[in-house]
Amino acid sequence: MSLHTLNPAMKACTIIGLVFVLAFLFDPVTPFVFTGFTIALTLIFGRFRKRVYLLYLSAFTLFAFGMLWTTIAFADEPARPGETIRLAGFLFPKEDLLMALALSFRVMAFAALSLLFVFTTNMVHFILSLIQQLKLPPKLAYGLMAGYRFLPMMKEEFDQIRAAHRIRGVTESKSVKGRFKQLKRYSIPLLAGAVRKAERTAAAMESKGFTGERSRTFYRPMKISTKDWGFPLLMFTVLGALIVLSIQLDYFQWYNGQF
Amino acid sequence: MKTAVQLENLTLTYEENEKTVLTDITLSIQNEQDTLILGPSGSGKSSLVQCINGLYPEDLDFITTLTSIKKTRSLTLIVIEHRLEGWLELLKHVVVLHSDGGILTQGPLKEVLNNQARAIHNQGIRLPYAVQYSIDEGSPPPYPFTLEELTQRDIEVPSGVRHPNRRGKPLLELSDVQWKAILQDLTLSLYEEEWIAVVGANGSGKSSLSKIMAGITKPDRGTVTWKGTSMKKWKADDLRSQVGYVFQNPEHQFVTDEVFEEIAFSLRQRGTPELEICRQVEHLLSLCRLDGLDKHHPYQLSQGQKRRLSVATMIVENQSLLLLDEPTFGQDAVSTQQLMALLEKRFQQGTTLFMITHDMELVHHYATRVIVLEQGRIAYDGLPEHLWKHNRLSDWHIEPPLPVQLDRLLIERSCLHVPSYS
Repeated sequence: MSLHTLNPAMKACTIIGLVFVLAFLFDPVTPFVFTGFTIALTLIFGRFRKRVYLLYLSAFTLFAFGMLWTTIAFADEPARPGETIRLAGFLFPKEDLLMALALSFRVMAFAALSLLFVFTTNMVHFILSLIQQLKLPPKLAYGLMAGYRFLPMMKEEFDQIRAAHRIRGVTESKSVKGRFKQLKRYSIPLLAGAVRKAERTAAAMESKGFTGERSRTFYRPMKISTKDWGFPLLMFTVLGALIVLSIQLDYFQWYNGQF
Repeated sequence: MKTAVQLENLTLTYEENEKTVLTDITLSIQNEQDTLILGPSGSGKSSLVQCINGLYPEDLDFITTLTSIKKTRSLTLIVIEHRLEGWLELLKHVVVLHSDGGILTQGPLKEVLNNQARAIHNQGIRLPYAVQYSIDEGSPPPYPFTLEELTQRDIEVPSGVRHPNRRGKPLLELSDVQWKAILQDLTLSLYEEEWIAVVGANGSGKSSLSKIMAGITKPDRGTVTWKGTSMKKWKADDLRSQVGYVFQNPEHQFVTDEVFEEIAFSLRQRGTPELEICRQVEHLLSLCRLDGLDKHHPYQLSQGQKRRLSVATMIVENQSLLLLDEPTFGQDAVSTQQLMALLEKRFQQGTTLFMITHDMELVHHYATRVIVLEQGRIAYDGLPEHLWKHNRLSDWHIEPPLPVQLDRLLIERSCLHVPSYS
């Protein structure tokens, strides 16, 4: 099994569903174990540069840790101040700590799920799948796809314009007002270029018979096979099992307005 | 029986591999001799068929490909083109529009060219070289359409009006310059009073080289010196007043809302008195044939005018070196001619020009020196007339300019037809 070959729309829907369920849980253990499971799954069944993945993950970890800290530091008055946990030489109220951990691991679980999607999905396949499975209008979807392709070109053009202006002797401004004017000066040639490119692309698409109608054929048909159902089945089973376990062991907690 | 396919000593290598895919293959297949090609996988069966099919090597001409498609399929072609060489055999009918958008003339292509060549020429449309040559010679129609037809007539060898090969003091010197994987070990000097043309395939590093010369990008390794002083030691403003760079897209360089202000921009920055600015801008406007357009927005100009305006902004401070990135790209005959006349004037006044181009006609007419780049290295650096005789010309995808081709055909003919009256 490879995460890359899964139907992208199916993958996206599964992840949205999982996020939805996770948002209603409020114990720290379930999201923690699920995060670990998701990361392991991504690393085992995904093909990408692991270093980049870990870099992104560490950014989210930092964010989650920040969240942990602020939640504890700015917590409400604890209901049962007697119950405390000693950690790294500090004494924390137990319920505050648990709540902070629950929030941070929830962030981590969301991050792990999003990264699973981002690192194992081809953008073009995803959009094609959105059209074919989720009935996104082709007009919108192909527009998105063309725009996605233009992004690196825009960056290149921006660099060109900057160099061109510098050689004209335009000095780069440091003040806020100057920067704003500068942005305006760059944006006009950029927009002019973008409009022209968009027009040409539109003409090329139309001349090749693109009408935006839904009843079209696809060079790359995206299908949902039985194997694709395996992913949501696996993910929801694991999450379900974790929830059942938490109920059994009596640490389960619904989210009902805490924090 | 007629031979359908004839291969002789065919060897094929793909760029990324060192191993040859096909080695020294000689075979012939007769007409209607249906043939089976057998071989283990990876032995090059598909590559062989693709060679036979004309897909490899890739430098097959676009027009040839279209011609062969037309032979097998019923197909109507509608072509928009400036340069007619090569199309004349394939296309049969022509519609000529005049500058106001109406139809100037239409009819069978050769007939129209014979009868209306002058009218077409007056619209600023480029005629086939052979036709233009005959008109300039004053010969009456019917005109020859190809160089071969032209050589059948009694004509004189064209004399190229070329600049003398002068060379002043060194201006810009690059030594061992390397930038990313694009430029490798470049050592090169530009001198005063040179008109240098840079040619080479797309991606060979022409633009990157020119940007390093203008100080826009810094090389990863190696040194660039301008007038004997390292580029790093020059202040950006001082360098800018001596080196001009005309970008591929003129719009990228416009920084104001008015043609007049556009030219005046760098003068104002130097604090030039208003009266002097007016005088200089007026002078440049007329030099670049932009008179009366001073109140227009730069974006409202035509492509040719935009290009001339971008050149004007770059010569206003009398820069001693002007770098141009494909200045004639996408321009018709008239605006090309106007631009080249403008550059010619600057050249006469002592500006060194460094021009990236794909147009060998321009190289032939104007350049005093030509540099061929191949994969980030200098493959040739010397006189244009020596370049046309270089044996690697086809590797660089360079076709000699038409006057040179004509010259060669004439020489060949005079060798073949030895006068018999001696």
